[in-house]
Amino acid sequence: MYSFPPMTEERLDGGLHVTWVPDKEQHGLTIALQVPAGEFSDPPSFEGTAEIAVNLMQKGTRSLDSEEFSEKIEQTGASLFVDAGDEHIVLGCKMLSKFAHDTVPLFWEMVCDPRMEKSEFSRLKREMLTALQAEYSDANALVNKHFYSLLCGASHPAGRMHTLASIKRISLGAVAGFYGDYYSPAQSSLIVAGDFDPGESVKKWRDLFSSWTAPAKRAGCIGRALMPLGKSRVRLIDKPDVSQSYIMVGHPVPGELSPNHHALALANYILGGGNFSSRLMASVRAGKGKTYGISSQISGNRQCGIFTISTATLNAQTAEVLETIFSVYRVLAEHGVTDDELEKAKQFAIGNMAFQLEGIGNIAEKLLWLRLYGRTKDYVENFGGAIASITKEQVDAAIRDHLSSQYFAIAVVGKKENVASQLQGLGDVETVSYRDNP
Amino acid sequence: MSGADNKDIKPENLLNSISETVIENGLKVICLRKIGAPIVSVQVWYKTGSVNERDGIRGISHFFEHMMFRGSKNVGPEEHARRINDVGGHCNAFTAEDVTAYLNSVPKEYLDMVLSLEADRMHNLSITEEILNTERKVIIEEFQGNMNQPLTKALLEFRTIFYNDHPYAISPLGRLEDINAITVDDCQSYYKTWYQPSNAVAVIVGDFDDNDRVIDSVRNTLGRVASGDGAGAAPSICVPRPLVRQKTWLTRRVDFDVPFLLVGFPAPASSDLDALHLEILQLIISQGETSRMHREIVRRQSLAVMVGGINQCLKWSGMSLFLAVFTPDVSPKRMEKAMVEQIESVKETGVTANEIDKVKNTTLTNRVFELYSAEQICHRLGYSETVEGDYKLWVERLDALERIDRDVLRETANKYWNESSRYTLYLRPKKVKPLFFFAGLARRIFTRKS
Repeated sequence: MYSFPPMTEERLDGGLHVTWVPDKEQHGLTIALQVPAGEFSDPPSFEGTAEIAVNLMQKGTRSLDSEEFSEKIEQTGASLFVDAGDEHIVLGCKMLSKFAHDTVPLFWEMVCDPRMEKSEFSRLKREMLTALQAEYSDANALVNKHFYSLLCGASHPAGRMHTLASIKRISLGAVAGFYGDYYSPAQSSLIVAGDFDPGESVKKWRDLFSSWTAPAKRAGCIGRALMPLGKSRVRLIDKPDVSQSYIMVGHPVPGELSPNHHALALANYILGGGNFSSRLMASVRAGKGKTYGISSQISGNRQCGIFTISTATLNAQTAEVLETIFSVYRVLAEHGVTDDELEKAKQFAIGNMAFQLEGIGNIAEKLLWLRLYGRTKDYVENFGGAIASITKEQVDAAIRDHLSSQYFAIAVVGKKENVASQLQGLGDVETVSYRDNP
Repeated sequence: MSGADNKDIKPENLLNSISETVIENGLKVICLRKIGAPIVSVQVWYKTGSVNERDGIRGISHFFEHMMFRGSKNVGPEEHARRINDVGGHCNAFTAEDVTAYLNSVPKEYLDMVLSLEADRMHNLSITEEILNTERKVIIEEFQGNMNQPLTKALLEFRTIFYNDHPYAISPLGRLEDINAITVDDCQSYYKTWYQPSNAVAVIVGDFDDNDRVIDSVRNTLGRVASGDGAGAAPSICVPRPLVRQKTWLTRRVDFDVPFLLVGFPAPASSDLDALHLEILQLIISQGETSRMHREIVRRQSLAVMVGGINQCLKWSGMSLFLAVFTPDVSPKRMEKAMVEQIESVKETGVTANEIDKVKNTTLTNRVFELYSAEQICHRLGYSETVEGDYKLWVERLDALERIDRDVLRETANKYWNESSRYTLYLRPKKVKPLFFFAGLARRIFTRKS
């Protein structure tokens, strides 16, 4: 039903996979490199290494110091962007096509030969430490970190968080080591999308990209599937100044590469992923007015999937909202979905694909997403048929197998004296201060 | 999908491709055909926001943003959103000081459905006690969510003091006591006054067949809404007036671990050419790694961790703001002095040709990448038409940039950024970790200036 614009793919001598997407809609160009090693590849106790590495790469190259490099990028109106995920990192640049002949080589020098200067490293660390300090005031950030730590534990990379201590431990040598270990052409994918000459520009840039020959030393860490919970885990994060409780509830589910992925995604849309079309939104917000927003998500790592429900409500309503959440969840687990709900969830999934392919930025993002999971563009082009063929029985079976847990990880940031008693009965409650590390 | 050559909607000839029609009931319709992804965005912008509120109903515009999703004569509660989701689309809304806007994006074959949905809630909104009370609870949750963020809370107080007795002093979130007291009668009166076709603008951008057919569809849907009884005329509550200022320093202790300084000056209405000049100056002084503040304050002097700036461009007046996040070893007065020095340097010596070129290229890049998105184009056209007074101002901004005179920029800086009208807000952390303090002090002592 949906298709990508014409494109060509090739693997260069150094092993880099390049996709060329000529698109004349506007005079813009996006170039994006994906390295399949993200924050899960941070060494334990040194969480933050991957993020510092990708940010430090943007602070100058062998031939240009940080100010000179920024000047050359910003002077042409170009801008760099980063997406640091659990199992991948994307580093890209959007630019006017009329400056691409200068900006693309500059971008490439940054990829192949970043300067990694001590003073820039120190400045970046200071920025990250300040950002972490600021998170103590952000209840949403706190509940998120504590939830993943509670569910996954320190032995799983999804349970390890950036902390002030982990950032302080990271050395410039470790960051340069991370770059040297994981940034190599043989493991990476590059997308060039936009207004470029498919003849001359491709020829010139192919030579340029082929000059990157760094050997692959290590493969990025893929988070292993989590075991089902044997009992519920409850953590109250005491933050005395908040009038609301910030709640996250969830449990492990299969990852993105599971054969049940589509069925689970449709079930999640019906439960809490579908905004006003979801059961949770209808019950907790529209029906009772107990929250501004509630949603559920399934995180998309290859093997390690995590199902979460997130919301916030006034402290006094914490127990009532949790009760409603569990009630809605159990009804789904016991009775499955209706034909009408499933049909609408399918229509959403199929219709929404049009938005995911609008413009070169979205196209580049989608192509890299496909590469990460080892999928071809046929995946998108056959997506409508794949979704349409899923039956109610398949969705109900996926719910029975994966969304009918008796046990949950439950993290609540709230005012202890108002919330603690409301969590009794959910399991053993561990109470920590919002100043404590997750 | 993409790959189409939208040669008629390139930045340089965009204006020729946009059509503007005022239909019989007074609704203005702005259309732009953008081939490519098979989608269409429809936004309805009502020229009412918190500036049109009075004491007792502060927050009612935002209330309406919620109520507009709670059903109308032919559409059940939340059904507007559900119908759009059901076809793969998405919708949202926002309330600002001058406008309330409703945003929909759907696969292109559902354009008529969206227009029908918007028509029904423009004319037949359900306003009952039960719905009002449920939504009141939701809005209180949203209000508390904002108040739980110390930075947001402090900034709301800052704007109250900055705008003083101007209607902009109160944010679109409103006042909690008013939110608790708003009645069905208040809502019906507000709806009748402001939710009229003559007070709205519909913006439609996407891969539709032709403008004439779209206008026919609008006539058959939104066009059937009665034109009302003269409501939607110039706001009677808002009294635009110049902001009278005096130098002010505010200190607030907040549960935020890093010190934060905000320096603000009164700015002109968004339609004023000076607003564009201030925007350019802001970019040069505070945006990006090559901005003057970043180079001097973050890199050379190592005083701040992050600097930035923003112009709050509103219909009647605005705020020109600079901000810095720094470490506890730096005094706020020192921080303010460093920021003001950069502002003063522009006032004294102006900006360079190189800096102007950078702004031009950055603005053009932003424009090019906005034009890939139907939703973003809709937003820009809707904003310029309703807040700045004419959608063409957005389109012509690139031309205006080409004509920029560096002397005029310098004059503008001198006109607005004066000590006598400077407002400074210092957010002082409640707790400062001694290690954080001494580490910062040592860093500055031992960091060599370059």
